[in-house]
This record gives sequence, C-alpha cells and structure tokens, in this order.
Amino acid sequence: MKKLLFLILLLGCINAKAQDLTKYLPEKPILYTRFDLAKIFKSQPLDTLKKKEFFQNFLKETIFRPSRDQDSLLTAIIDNIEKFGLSLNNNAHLIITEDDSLLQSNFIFQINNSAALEKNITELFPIGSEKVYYSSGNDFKLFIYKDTHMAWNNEIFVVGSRVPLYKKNRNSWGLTDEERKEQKKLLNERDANCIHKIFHANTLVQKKKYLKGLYKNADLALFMDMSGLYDLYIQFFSREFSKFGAIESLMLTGNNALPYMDSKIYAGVFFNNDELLIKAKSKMGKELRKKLLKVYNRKYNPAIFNYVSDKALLSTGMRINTEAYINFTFDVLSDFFNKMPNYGKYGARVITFIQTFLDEKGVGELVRGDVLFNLNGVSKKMVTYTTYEYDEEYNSTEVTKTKEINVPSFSIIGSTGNPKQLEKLMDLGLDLSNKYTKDKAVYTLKDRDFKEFGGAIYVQITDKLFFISNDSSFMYTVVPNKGYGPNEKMNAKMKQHHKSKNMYLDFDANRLLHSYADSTGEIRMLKKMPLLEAAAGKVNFEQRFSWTGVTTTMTYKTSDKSSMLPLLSECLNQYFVKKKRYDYNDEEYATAAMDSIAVDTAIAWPDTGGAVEYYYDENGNIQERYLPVDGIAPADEVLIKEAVEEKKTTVSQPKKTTAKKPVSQKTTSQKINATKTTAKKPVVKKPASKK
Amino acid sequence: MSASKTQINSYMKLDSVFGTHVPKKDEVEKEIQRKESLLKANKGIKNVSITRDFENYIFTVKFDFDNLDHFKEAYTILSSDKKTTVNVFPFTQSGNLFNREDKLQTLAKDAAKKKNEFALLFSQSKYTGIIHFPKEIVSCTNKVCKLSKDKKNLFITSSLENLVNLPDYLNTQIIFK
Repeated sequence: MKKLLFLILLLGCINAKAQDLTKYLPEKPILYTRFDLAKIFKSQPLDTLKKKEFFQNFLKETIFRPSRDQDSLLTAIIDNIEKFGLSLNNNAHLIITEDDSLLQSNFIFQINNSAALEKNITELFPIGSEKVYYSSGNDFKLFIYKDTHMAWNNEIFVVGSRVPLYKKNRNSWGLTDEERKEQKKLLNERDANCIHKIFHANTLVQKKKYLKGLYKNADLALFMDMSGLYDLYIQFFSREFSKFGAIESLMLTGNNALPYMDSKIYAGVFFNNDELLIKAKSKMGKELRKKLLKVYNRKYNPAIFNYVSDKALLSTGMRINTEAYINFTFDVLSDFFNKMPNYGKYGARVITFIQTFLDEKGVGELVRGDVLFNLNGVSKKMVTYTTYEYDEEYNSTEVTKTKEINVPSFSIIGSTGNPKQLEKLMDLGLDLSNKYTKDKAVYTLKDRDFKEFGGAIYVQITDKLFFISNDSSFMYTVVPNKGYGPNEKMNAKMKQHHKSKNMYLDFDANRLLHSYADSTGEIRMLKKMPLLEAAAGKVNFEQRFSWTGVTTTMTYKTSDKSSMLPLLSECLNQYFVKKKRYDYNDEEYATAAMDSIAVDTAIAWPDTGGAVEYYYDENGNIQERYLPVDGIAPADEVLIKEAVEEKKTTVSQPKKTTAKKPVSQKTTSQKINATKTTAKKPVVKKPASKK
Repeated sequence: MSASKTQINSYMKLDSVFGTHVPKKDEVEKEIQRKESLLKANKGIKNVSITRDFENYIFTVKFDFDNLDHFKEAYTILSSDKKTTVNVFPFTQSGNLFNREDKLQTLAKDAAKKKNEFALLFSQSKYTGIIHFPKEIVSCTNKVCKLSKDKKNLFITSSLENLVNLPDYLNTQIIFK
C-alpha cells in the first residue's frame, strides 16, 4: 500500500514537472512576461474582458504591434479559447527575443488538448495552401502564415510574429515572382530555426538567471533587459534610416552603450482584494549605480515642509543633487561621443566647450535639487468672455460678460544655496520684459500662457527657499508667515515618507477629480479621459534609490475592482502605443522617403507595414502593386485602396508610352522622370515596425 | 467659444482629445488662409474678410454674394477640407419658396459615436443661426424658428446636443410675401 502511495505521489511529481514550462523559456530574452491566467481571469472573467475596448486594443496593439494576421488569429483564439484546447488555469508567457537578426515575439500557452488545437488551426489555415509554410517534425508542428507563426507539441502552443532586423534590400523590389518566393522561403526557414530553439531550449533553470529575479507570486511578472532593448532600438533605427547612409556607424551599440544602459528591470503586478499593487526594481551595473548614487544623495531642506498644507490634494517631490546630475549628464554625453566612431570626436569637443563655461557647482548651489510640488486645491477666478445680444431685427452686438471658473491652485517649493544670485537673475527679467513686476518681495509674471492658471504666476525667494505659485494668498500670507500653522502643515507621517524616498506621491484620484470638476457633467466627461476613467481610487507611488538599484512601488486602492485592469492597460497603452503614434511626423518622413527613394511614382507605407508601389501601365493608368519588402508585415488592403484613390485624384497623369515593357524593367532615368512629372508628394505612412 | 476659452486653452495643449485630433494654432491659421484665398479666387464672392481672435476664440467670416449659386460655392469651400469635399448645400429657392434642409445626418452619426465622451461639450455648446432676407416672410414650417418684428429675419438657436440627436432640427420651409 505504501509503495502504491509512493508511486502515486511520484507520478504526481512527474506530472507537476511536466506542467512546468520553464524548460521552453530562453536564456536571454529581451522581454519576458509571465501571466497567471487563472488569477487574472478570476479577477476579470474572460467574457467580460472580451467586451472591453482596452482588452481588444491590447490584443491588437501589443508592444511590438504584430501584423493584422496575428491580431485576427489572437482574437480567434481568445474567442474560442476552449475549442483551441488551451489551458486557462496555468501560466502563459510572452517572450521577446532577438536571434539571427530576427526579432520574435511569442506567446506560449499550455495545451490541454493538442488534437483540438491542430484541428482548429488546419481549418483556419489549410495545409497545402501556397501561403502556408508547414513543417511537421518529430518534436513539434509548425505553421507560418505571412509573418505569423504557430507551433505546438503535446504540451505547449506558441503563437507569435517576426520582424527581421537586417536592412531592407531595395533591389528585391525588382525581383521576379520566383525569386520572391525563394526569398520568402529562406525567411521562413530562419523563422522555423528560431522556433526550433524554443522547443529545444536549455532545460537548466540555473542558466535562466532572470527567472530568479521575478516577483514570485505576481499575477503578472515582467523582466526587461534594458541593454537588449537599446540594442534593438539601434537596429530598428539603422534598418529604417539606412537610406541616409551608414547611420549605424554613428550610433553606439552593444558594449559601448552598456555603462548607461546596463540595467535589468523586474516588475510584478498583483491583483489583491481591493488593491492593485505594482512593484518594480531595477538592477544596475556597478558603474551606473556609482554615478547615480551621487545624483540621488540630496536630502530635503526640512523648512520646505512648513509650506505644505496638510489638506493639499496632492503632494509630490524629488530630491537630486543638481551638481552631480549635471556632471552625470556630461559624463554620459562625453562617453557617448568619445566612443562614437567617425564624427563622435566633434561632439565630444562641443561638450568640453560647454563644460568649460558652465559652472556646475554654481548652478548646483543656485537650485539644489530638492523640490516639492503641491496641488493645494481650487481657487475661484473671474474671467471675461465675449458673447452676443440681439435687437428686434436680430442684428447682433458684441458684449463682454464675466463668469467664475475653477482654477487649480499649486505651489512649487525648492531650496537654493545662493538666494542672492537667484534674486539677481529674477531682477534681470524685470529689465527685459514688462510682463514681470515686483511688489515687495514677490515677483509677478503675467502672460497669456498662464490663463489656465488664473493669469499670473508668482515667485518669491526667501530663507534659502524659492516659491513658485499661482495663488497670491499663498505668496502674500503663507510665505511671509514662514509657512502654515502647526495644525495646518503637513503631518509628520507624510513628511517622513517624503524624506525616506527619492520620490513619493500619494493622492485620492476621486477627491482630486471632484475638486476640479464644476458639475456632474464635467466629472462624467473627465472620467471618460482614458487614465481618469479608471483612476478613481487612492494612488500611492514611491521610488527609492539604494545600492542595489531603484525600487518602485505603486499601489492603487479601490472598491471598484473592475477598474484595475483598464488602468494598467491604459498606462501601458499610453506608454507603448499612443506615444508612438503621436510622436511621429508623417510629413517629415514622407519628404525623407521621397528624397531617397526613386521608383516609378510613389511608395506608400500603409499603416500595417509593407510597401505599395504606384506605377503607370502601358495605357497610362495608375496601378498599384504590393512590394514584399523582406519580412515587413503584409500591407493593409483598405489603406492601399484609400492611398490609390487619393493618388488618382491628386497625381496628374504622365504622357502615355507606347513601349510595352514591364515597369520593373524601366531604367532609373525613366523612373526619376516619372517621379518628376508627378509634382505631388506620395502618400507615405509610417511602417508598423518602426520604433 | 469665448466662454469656454480656458478649457480650449487646455485642449490646445493636447495632441488629441478622445481620439480626435486637436489642431495647433498654426494649423488653424493655415487652414483659414487657404479658405480665404479660395474664397477670394471665386468670382461670385466679393468683399471677403475673415477675422480671427485666438485669445477669445472668435472667428468671423464675411462676404457678399449675388445669388444662391455663389453662396453654395462659398459654403462648399468653408465646409470642405483638404481631404474631403462636402457637396451638401442646405438652401434652395424657387420663386417665393425657400427651403432649408440640412444634411446633418453624417455629422450626427459621427458625433453620436462620441456622444458619451463629449456629452458635456455637446450640452454646453450653443448654435445660433440668423438668416436675413430682403423680403418679408409669410409662413415658416419650423415652429422653433423665431421671426423678427419686420418679418425679414429668421432666428434659431439650439444646443449642439439637440442637433446631434435631432438631425432635422434646423429644417424649414419658408414662403415669402
């Protein structure tokens, strides 16, 4: 009986070990995320999640923005997750790796039923189809459809996308269909080779050091290799802008950049009962740590806290050593330029030149680097506006009226080691502009740009402290009285938090929202703002720098559990997606692309990547064709059509040519001439893969 | 928009609000200049003047026209942008019959999509339309419209929310004396 029990236990252990997917994880990922699906779906049921916009966005716009095929595939899988035989009770893993100049992002799921999975995939992508690359070995089966791949064995299912990091081969645009097929085949083989490594990864967990650093019980645990990410960024940059010349030779790669990029970031997200907790820690290289310790060694001037009200809606601050910070910046720049080949030495000389004239110590004394920012509340301001009145014949007359508005009242308090010099600088402003006035010790700056703050900003320097605020009562009563009274100033507990952390923030988002909004309608509208929609609870953020690196903790407490995931997702969205979308200037890219690319008429980069070439056929009509630039995601048909329609209305047609030869065989001069005849710039959009 | 200038100043600092692009001041200025030159280039439209006050957000467009066809051209220029040409013109006249039929359906549809997000803006924004005619009006089918004492001017006002919910709100048929 004992033997049988032992056997059952042993089998249980073997089974437990078989469930452990760490053997499939790579040794050196750039990014790794472990999702505890059971916990996440317990907090947010999948059916509820599927209906939410943020979740759909997350599927569509993961960090490296996969192709449309992967979007639809992921959506198909999520919609029918049980049918696909995937397990929702175990961890799923997202891995981003770079191997053989191929960037792969892969989700790994555990499988309950591999037969169901295979059946569903072959229904979606029939074997034998020209577009599908299929390989069936002993260990795993693999499908590659365009830039999306799926692979599985009896234990795991891998779904992901690829982006080649090598330069686009422009000559390939003139390739024959056969040559293109061959090129695609080679790319698929490289892809397959990388996927093979997942199924044959090193089983020694010791070699996967990053796993030890992960937050153990986190619902979502993340690891990021910053130096790997930096290298990746450089490679993307080189690939996209290689047309400008040997740009990569100007940039720092690998070890050259390491002193300042040598950090590994670990983060953990915990969905507790009424709390969303995010913890993060970064482990830095010795050199970076040493330099940053000098930057973060500043302490607050204790007098600062006397000027902060205990009733402040929000209070946050930072303490850095300005002198050390300037030196650190110069060190980074000098190092950067000195190690940069070719033109780096000129950059280094400029830095030395500026450094010669800049008195770091003097600036460091002027603004020491300990600063508190406070939102004290709301003050009412009267503003004038123009409206119209009508007579009996409805002729209008302009009239000026006044109304009361809410203006946030803020104060910034910092310390200075040289108040007299700071005052002299402020006095300099008085001579230069009539927007600046001085009444007693208070400087008033009035400008149109300060309208949202009530029209004026006040500055005062006293007792080795400087004050900036839009609230005149703060300047004329609180500051001269050396701060708030004993029962009004910041409490000791809060003060201690600020003193012990390099950055500290604590506020009630709901209270903040209600303080500024005038009416229920306004609150409703503000709550629709992506971040505020979710942030209705209490937010606490603290960051501390120590010998090991930076530790950050963010807590979000709310009774409304459903707001936790949207908040997290929106933060990620803001950072990875929206920033990327708006930072880009399409027009500039269009000009740059046009300057360097000579094709028949124009090349457009539809939003989902890939290139479209517009050319004139033998009858002089505008035609389009998709250019299979190596590894770029397939072009979006809708966008192509829109671009074509736009071109058809804006581009004047060239003279008809009688020569009936394929466009790809046109000479360069013909191509350039054709470009010149079309005075309009092409519709050029950012490739999806650009970072 | 003058009454909401503080909010507009804040919005102008953003790239977008609820996914809708917020143009920068120079973008608005460029577009005004483009429209102004298009209006001036049109033979049927005279004495074009566009004033802008970016401090109070008041913009005025003034021009003279001889007949409805010329006004239609001006209306198209003002309603269209670089990418899309708007070909809907709400006014038609035949003898003593004047018809206003706004094709606000598309606008209403687009706006309805963001109804929740812009609820406050829609409810607080006011539309006022005054049409001055050379002749006296005998009858007007839209009961919301107000007639001036001399019966030559038509006045209608509404919240933007109303126009989004009721695309036919401004429609009317007028018979002149």
